[in-house]
Amino acid sequence: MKRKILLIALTALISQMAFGQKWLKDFNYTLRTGGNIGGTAPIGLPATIRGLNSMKVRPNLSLGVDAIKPMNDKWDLMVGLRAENKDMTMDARVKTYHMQIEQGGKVVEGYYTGNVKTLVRQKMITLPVMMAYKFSRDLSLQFGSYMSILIEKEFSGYAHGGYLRVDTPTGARMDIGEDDTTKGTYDFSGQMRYSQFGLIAGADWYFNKHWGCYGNLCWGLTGIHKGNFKTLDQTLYPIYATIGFIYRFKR
Amino acid sequence: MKRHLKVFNALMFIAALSLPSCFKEEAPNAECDILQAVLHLDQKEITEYLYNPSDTLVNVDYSNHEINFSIKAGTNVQLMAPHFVLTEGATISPESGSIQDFSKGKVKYTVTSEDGNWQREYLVGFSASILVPKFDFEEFRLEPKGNYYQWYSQLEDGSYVNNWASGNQGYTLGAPEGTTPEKYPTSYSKDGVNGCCLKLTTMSTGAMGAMFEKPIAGGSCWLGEFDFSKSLTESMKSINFGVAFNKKPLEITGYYKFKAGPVVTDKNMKKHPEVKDEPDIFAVLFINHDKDGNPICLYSDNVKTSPQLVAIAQVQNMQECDTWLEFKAEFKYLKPIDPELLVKQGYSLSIMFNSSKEGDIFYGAVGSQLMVDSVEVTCEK
Repeated sequence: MKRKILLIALTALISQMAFGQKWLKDFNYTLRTGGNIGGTAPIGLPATIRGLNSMKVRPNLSLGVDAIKPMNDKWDLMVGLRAENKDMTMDARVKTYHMQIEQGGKVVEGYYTGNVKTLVRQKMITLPVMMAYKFSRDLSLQFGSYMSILIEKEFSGYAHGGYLRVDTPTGARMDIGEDDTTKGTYDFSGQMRYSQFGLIAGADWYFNKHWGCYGNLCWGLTGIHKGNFKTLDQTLYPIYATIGFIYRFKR
Repeated sequence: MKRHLKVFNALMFIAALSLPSCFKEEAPNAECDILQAVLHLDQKEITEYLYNPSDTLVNVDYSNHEINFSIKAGTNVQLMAPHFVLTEGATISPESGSIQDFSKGKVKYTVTSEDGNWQREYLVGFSASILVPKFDFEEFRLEPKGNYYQWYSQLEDGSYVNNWASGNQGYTLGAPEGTTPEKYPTSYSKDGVNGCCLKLTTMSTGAMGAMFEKPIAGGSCWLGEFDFSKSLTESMKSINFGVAFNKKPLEITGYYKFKAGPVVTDKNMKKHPEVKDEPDIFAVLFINHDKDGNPICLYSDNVKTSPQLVAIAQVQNMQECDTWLEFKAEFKYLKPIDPELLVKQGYSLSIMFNSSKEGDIFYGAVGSQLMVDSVEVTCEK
């Protein structure tokens, strides 16, 4: 909630400044295309996560435009709009991992030891708002915040090759198998939030008048699931780095 | 695009290399199970105390909290020293291999997990006694967590043992919140022929059961064990038939009432309105060790067909009835009984009552109800 207010305040500030100046004249625009790599992860890996069996990079594209308004010699204001996806597939090994599944009003709680394969798909529109510090005409460092609205989302997978102890580690033990009928499939896509908010830091470097490359890191401050999602003990935050190319209309 | 992916994969690999340093040290184990109970006996003791050398080892299911060694009648159990194989890192009190007096009843052992946070209690005993094949279903108690009832039958020495199994433990995963023990698939009714009787009802397992592709739970009760650990991966193998027996059964008799549920559904919840649900009552006698001397039991998928089968009594022509109907089935022998093997408890008996004949493959009608009482297996003198 506090974050939403902050974002609205920031937007109001920009609008106020915009009306106060002949702002359109000074604007520069960039187009950027890049790839996102990263994942949704808990902050601080708990001891219950024992290893990573595999992790696949999926083609995560980011396409965007930015409007850049110089504030003074050294600082620019950048507001962008991106269409991107942040997908991830991973297979992790966990031990005595506390989890809770809810289906139709029934809650089964327990401790799972074994493998968990997760597929996360997120297609979103992102609005980054940043302040950029210009080291030179061709190099700037940016820092700010972003908000994403998800237009497509999925969080699904299956537990496999392990077992569940119901209620407590001394509870009834149920094996979870490897094939289609015996693995524990889940789909918690409906429990994902529609919006994400976080911090963004990056750099733009131009190697000629129009073309350059960029990199940035988006660090989610909100978990990908709704607050009442209790199945996983830890909150998963989206943390993605983007690298790609930029085209600017004027130097 | 492909080159992009290669670069990213390389970066990912580098990141992954650094990940192991992010993984915290493995926490000590939280589980505290007895996996096996073993008697370390010399050859002379084995021949003197046990019917089968394999009886020195008891494999303990995760759900069991009672462990029983099968011994010959008259064996002195005042100074027995069972050893235990536990979850790694767990400790047991009294100590594994310590001499205990089992002549006054079962001895309680407590297992503590490696991390010290969890404990389990087990009752370990020695039994020479065989069950009395007369069942009134009066003796039932709540299981330790209080979710459902368990049935006991009487042994020749007067003690009671929980050798009737049911699918109730599996049903705990599907039961709606707040389900009382009376509403479990295997429960009791006070309207028995005499006193209480078994009440077996086929029930829906709700959204949770449907998620595991096990939409119904048949009301069932059998002599043997329920291995909950296999209920998802190999549900047919979770039903273990058989308890040791030393007489030649001739006939099984008893009383039943049955009402079929309104609609038969299959494992995909497809309706079959043309079929009517049927209950099942049968009994089997089988050889309980394989040719290598290892103990075996029968499962849902081979109880009527296994080569270890010696005799089977199948109740035929069961029908819907709301007053007590007598049932009777003769044991048909596929092989002759070996009297020496009989004395050595080399045969096991099992009886099965099921409110839906094919409930083990999730084919049946929710609401089918079978009541059973006053069951007896008459044996050769």
